[in-house]
Amino acid sequence: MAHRILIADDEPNIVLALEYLMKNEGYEVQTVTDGEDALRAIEKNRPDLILLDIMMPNLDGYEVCQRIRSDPSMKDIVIIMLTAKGREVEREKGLALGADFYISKPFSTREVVKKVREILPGNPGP
Amino acid sequence: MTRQPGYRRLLWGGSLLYVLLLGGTGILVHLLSVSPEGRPDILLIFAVAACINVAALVILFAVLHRLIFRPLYLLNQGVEIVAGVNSAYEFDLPRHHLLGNLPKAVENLSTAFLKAKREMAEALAAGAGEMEDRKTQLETVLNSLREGVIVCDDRARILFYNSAVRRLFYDNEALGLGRSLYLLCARDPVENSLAILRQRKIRNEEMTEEEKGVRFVCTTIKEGALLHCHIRMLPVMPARPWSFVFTCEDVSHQVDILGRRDNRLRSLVSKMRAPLTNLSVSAEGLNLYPGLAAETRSKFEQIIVQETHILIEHFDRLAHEIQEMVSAQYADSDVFAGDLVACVAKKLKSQGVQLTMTGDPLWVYADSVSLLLLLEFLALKIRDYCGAGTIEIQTLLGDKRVYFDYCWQGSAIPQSELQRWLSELTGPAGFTVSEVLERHGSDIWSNPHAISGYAILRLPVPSSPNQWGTPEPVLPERPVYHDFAVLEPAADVLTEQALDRLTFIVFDTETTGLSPLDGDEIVSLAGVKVFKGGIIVGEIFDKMVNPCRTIPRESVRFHGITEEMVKDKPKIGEVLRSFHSYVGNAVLVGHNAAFDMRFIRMKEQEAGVRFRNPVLDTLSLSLYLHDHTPEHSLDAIAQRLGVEIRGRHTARGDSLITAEIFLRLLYLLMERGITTLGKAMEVSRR
Repeated sequence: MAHRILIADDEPNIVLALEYLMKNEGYEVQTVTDGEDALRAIEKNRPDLILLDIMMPNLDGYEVCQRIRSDPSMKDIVIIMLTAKGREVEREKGLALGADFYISKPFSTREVVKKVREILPGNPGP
Repeated sequence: MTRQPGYRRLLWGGSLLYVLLLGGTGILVHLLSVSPEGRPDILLIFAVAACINVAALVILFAVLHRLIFRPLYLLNQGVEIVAGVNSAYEFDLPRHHLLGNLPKAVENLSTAFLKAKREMAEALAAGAGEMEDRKTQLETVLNSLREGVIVCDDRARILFYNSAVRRLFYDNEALGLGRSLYLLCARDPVENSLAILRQRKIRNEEMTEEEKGVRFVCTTIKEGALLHCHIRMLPVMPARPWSFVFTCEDVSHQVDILGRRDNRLRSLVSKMRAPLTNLSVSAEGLNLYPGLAAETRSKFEQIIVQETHILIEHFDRLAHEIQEMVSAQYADSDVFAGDLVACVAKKLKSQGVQLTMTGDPLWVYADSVSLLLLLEFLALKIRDYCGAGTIEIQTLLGDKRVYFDYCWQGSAIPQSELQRWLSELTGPAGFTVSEVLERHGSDIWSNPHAISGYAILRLPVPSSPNQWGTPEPVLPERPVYHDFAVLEPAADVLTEQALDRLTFIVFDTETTGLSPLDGDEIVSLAGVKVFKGGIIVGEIFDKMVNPCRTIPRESVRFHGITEEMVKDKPKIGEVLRSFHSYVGNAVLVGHNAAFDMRFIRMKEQEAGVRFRNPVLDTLSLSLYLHDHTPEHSLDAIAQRLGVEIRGRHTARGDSLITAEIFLRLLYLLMERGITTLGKAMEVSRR
């Protein structure tokens, strides 16, 4: 069974690109564009990994991260945070609130794919 | 009843003796001179009478000298010392004299004089107390300024400087009262600014506040530091030349940082041009020619991918630079975290919040005012949101930041709640939380504590770059201020200058032995500045020297300086260069100065400096002034002139004693009409 990835970002172009790439890598992909939808999606269909943008309407990425980590049943979900600000303190805050990895924008897609592949190996390529 | 003065009895006795002598002579001569012929021999009578008369006069004069003239001379010397420099001087008179009660009377007078002088000093001190308090207060204020403050006369000679200036020119011997400002910093910017000020004054006597000063940048000569300076004319006082105040701040560090950042930004921006051009050309190519051959197309695509990566890389660095810029603009300074928390705790106590602090004593680099408000705001919000009446702040050192961790009993605060706090004001008319956070490149977040049942909120604040840096050297002596007296225009020839207008460096050396020609070396050199009748205690030169040879035990016993103590000290060349800069064009003064000068002259070549200064010798001056006594050792003179002896046989201590002695000798010289350097040098050479 393919690993499941949730992409949560309010920037449609990035969502489009990431979705294409991840599908191409053989993952099962789901996308949302705000924090509350992200939590609902997780509840309904638990992913193995989340690509989580910090700046999102309704609930921001930090909050989503905090909620996921406060539920022990979700402790296995890997969270990769995406941020546009790239300040050092945000990385620290993200990791403190439970993110596993942190990638700042602009990023190269190669970098993201490489990271995801490291975390979720064993998926057949396209 | 007062005894009749002895000299009157002497006079009566002398006269009687003389009459008897004359009478006796007459009879004797008469008997002798009657020649066989019974006729008096006139020539013989005169010869014998003359001999006896002369003998009588010589005896009389010798008696008078011993019992009257010499005691009078000694008394006079004593009166001079008592009146001028040492009221406690004890008269040194021979046991036998014929001055009767005169010495006693003079001594009584001097005791009364001493008493009156003391009483007057006490009265003056009481009256001057308030004035002194104000002066001290002013000194304290000026010394607590971060900016350097220098007051100069019309010829840019320093009349005053504060502690910040001493820190700025730490280890620069050219800084001193009466020395030129241009020995410290570049002349042109200062002169040009002064010219502008003078021009403005000519144009318009009534200048606006802004017009009274000029801002400029200049560099320091020895340190090569960059100063932000401000010059302002002081109001002209009647009968005094104009003067100006020069304030300065060392901005080398900031300028360095800003300069480097400017360079990096410029280079980053220019590096982005090439990839942007390539990107644009390739993208347009693809867009304009849809029918490109697959091979060409793939080349274009390759270019786009490569250049995008390069752009991202440059962009990241640019973003990093810009973040640094944001935090550097504010009034940041090193603040002790404990102080911040203690301040907040005090304020919170009245609002029913118990705030305690644990953790390491750490320094942060922050805008203390806004950070203080934020710390207080967060504590109050935690109390309101979590109902925690007791909060502990723990400070921890992170990689580049100091963490302020608020800990309380309860659960962590959700991010959505913290998000709401961000837009709130930290204090009345203050900044919002996010502004203060942004300013410190910071953020806040809350987590459950490692101890169950507790939670933390973390606030990272930039750590001070000097967290464990060595503290600045403590400068023990506070600078002494020149009273703002008029400095006379200098006479063209140094020797024509009035003694009370000159700067003197009273110096002393300690050596390994007595003969420089046989390889003895200086181990310690000290100098004390004497100016306008006082010792400038803030400007003492005191350095030990590595003699690069063994120090004989007998000399160690004398001055206490061992080889161990000097092994890390600079060599004589370096110390002499620095002494040369300290001395400037002052007059050198030493006790038996020729001895010390011999050691110094031997090393002038090695040091590459030459001391062309006039030299005065306190030993010779004392000999000239007090030829009544053979005692002219430093200790004897000190005792005679009422100088307290401390720190003897160290270069510094001996220089200080010699300086005190010199001040008193100077007074006595002036009393005797020796008022110029030329005359003083002449009597010093006798």
